[in-house]
Amino acid sequence: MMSGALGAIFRAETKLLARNSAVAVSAVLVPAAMGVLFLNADDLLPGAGTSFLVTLMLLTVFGMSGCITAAASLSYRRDELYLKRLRSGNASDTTVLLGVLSPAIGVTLAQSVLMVVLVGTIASMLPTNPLLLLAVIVLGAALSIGLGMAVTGITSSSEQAQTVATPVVFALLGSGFWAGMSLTEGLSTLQLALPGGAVAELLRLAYSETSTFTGQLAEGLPALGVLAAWTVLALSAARRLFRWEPRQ
Amino acid sequence: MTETVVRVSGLRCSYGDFDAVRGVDLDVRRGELFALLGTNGAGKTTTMETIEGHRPASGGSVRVLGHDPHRDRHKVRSRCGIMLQDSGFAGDLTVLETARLWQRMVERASDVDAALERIGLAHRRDVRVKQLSGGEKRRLDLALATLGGPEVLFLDEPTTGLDPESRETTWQLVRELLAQGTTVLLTTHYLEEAERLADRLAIMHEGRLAVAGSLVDVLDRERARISFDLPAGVGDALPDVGELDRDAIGEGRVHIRTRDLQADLSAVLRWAEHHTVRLTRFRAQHASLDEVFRDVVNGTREVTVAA
Repeated sequence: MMSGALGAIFRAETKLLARNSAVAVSAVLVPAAMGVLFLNADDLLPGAGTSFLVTLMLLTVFGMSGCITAAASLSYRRDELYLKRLRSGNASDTTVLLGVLSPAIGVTLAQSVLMVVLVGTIASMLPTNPLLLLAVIVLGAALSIGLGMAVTGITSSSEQAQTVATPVVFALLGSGFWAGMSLTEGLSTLQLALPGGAVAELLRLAYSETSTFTGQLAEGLPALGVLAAWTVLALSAARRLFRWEPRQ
Repeated sequence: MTETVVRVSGLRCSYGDFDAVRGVDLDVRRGELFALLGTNGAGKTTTMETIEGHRPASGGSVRVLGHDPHRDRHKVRSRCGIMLQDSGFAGDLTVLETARLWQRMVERASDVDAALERIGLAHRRDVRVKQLSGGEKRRLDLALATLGGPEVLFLDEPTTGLDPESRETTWQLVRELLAQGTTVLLTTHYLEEAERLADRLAIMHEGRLAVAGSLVDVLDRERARISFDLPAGVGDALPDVGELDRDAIGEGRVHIRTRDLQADLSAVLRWAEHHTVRLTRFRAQHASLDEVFRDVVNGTREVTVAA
């Protein structure tokens, strides 16, 4: 059964993540700590609204737990020829890839939920539109892991992959921060066209108390389109650039 | 009558504009061990990995159990065991965890404990793979490749880096698998390995098969050698057999290359009797695989044998 192989790779990867403290720290502890930090920095960008805190927290999770963890673990597994070994078995390429990426996917989703719960309990702020929030988490995770996977294609070591992934993460966070400065008066087209801006706009709507559920969805369509487009772009870059084996 | 398990014809493999494999034909029959010999960079691993389905062929065709191993990977893999040249272990998993992972990956009924026992790693089951010696890693690799009794086994340099005792253990396991009917394709640069295990073999050089056939065939096509010290007082009246090495005569030694060892040896002995000389340091030997190999690599002679 294919699910047998997928489960086995997942279990192995989870053990490996737990045993490699450096990766575990950057994937789990750092984003959690940064999230909590943002939670206490209400005056970081006065007037941006508390939904902006969620934006920064989620973008940090996408960047650190998603992009950097995916880039580091995939290139490390590739360079030790572990990916090649897994491809010598009976599992399909998709199974191998999903299995090896499963900790990055799992940690990103779990951390995102944790951030939302933290905001809900500490700042007593609950999303009024969970569907938009869910869309941000799912698309954001796919986007950031796709970016991480694409990065491995242009680097030749795990360290290099992390180094190259870092500016990608900053770009993600930076575009969110830039959007935060104009969130109350409305984003410019360019701000909205960037992934961080789209996330900020979608979360503003997801936590907004002035609009109806369907009104939020309708208003969020452009930002949703932007985020979906970036996700497709990231995944197709991943597909084009990703290599199973180190360069000859 | 004998089924062909692996059929390769006109195989070409290129990396960019470098042709690593330049037209290879080979067949592996059911139940035999076929050894692919060659120096580093001859194209053995590229050939092997293409047959395993790791990459598509740039030209020609490959069939394993009747299927294209790259395009129809899922149809072929469940019946194959693969030992790559580099193990590709995750160093932080233990031996047992690695074996259990692999048990799921090959999806054949198998007994992990028995496999580790057989390869002498049962006592190392809870050790992390990165702490194993090179030889232990290679043995673990072999245990995984043979897990669940594959029909076809691909071994890429299975004994490189092993001490003589581990090498013997590996050969013993391969012999047992052959006795059970497993078909094996193996690459090696140890001639002894091919001589001890192979039913048929090929020597690969610069992307092509320079020689292929059964061990006897390959050795038969290479000339045998007769040699002895040049006896005093015979002058130019040397035996008229085979091919004489003129350079060696200058050094006081007679070297004869022959394709008919028995007849030419008799002729040499008759000649010695006729001249009443005693031959010192007298030696007659069949060609060794080592010589065939050296000849191929040095490119001193074209050797073509029907596979």
